[in-house]
Amino acid sequence: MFDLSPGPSPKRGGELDAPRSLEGGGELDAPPSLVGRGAGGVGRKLDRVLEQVRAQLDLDAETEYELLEELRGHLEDAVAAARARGLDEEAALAEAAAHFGVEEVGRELHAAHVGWGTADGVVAAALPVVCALALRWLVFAPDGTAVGWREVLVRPAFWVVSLAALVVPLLKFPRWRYALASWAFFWALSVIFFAWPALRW
Amino acid sequence: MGEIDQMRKGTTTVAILKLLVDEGEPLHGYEIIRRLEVRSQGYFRFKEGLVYPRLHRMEQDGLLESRWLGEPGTRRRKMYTITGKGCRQLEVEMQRWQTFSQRMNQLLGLEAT
Repeated sequence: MFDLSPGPSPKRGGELDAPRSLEGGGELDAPPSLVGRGAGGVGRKLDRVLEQVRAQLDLDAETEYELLEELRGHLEDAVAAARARGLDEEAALAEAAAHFGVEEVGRELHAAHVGWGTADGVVAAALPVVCALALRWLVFAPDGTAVGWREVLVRPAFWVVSLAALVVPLLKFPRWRYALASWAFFWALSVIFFAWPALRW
Repeated sequence: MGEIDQMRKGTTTVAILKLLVDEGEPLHGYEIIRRLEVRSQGYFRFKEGLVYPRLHRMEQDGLLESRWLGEPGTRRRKMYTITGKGCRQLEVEMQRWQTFSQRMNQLLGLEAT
């Protein structure tokens, strides 16, 4: 059952950090904090409910932010519907939270997303390296140098590997920025191979 | 959780897929829950928050796709639509459900074999 009492709920061992990426702007171009975003008392009480959900999460900041934003929308709708049926603010919020299942939601959301981030991380790290190695051994000169690199540009293998290094992450990752970062890493590695033809493995 | 909800639990995915196909428009989580309850005439009560992990898993499995409606910094909605893979999965699940319910009815003597 959720807790409407004042004050924060504990997050693993009692710490309560503010929403991490939500402090001070950051890259999200979003409200600086979920806390207090809502109107008046209802907004603050919703924040406390969401804090209890967040206490169960241990995901990257952007994912947590989006999850909480989605849940906040749900709770706001549920409160508004209960108010429309004549409940007062406190009762409406209590009903919305009771139907919501705060602690279970946090656990389930964490379980749904935690493995996903790990898999992304592994692919994000491995794929550019694999593609750069493929480019080096399949496309460049057999000795590993970029001798005759202009010819490389007309080889289908060059374009296949280059596009694969971009398209696979775009399809695989939930955020396109990860794909671009992966692609940039791929090119950085390829340039290193190009710039240091004497490099040996 | 009531016995009815226990029996219904395994069918949430197919219920969501069917709803999205029938409605033919993107829906956000709250709307999905409300419409499912309306379709069941209030017989099924969903633990509302638990629909979201299910939606996210379905999205990860490629059955649904989502996009945010609204500008960052304002109140936004995450809207869900069914994918081609989701449609194919729905067909499979519907067929499976028909077979299951038919066999169960036979087992319980509610339907002639």
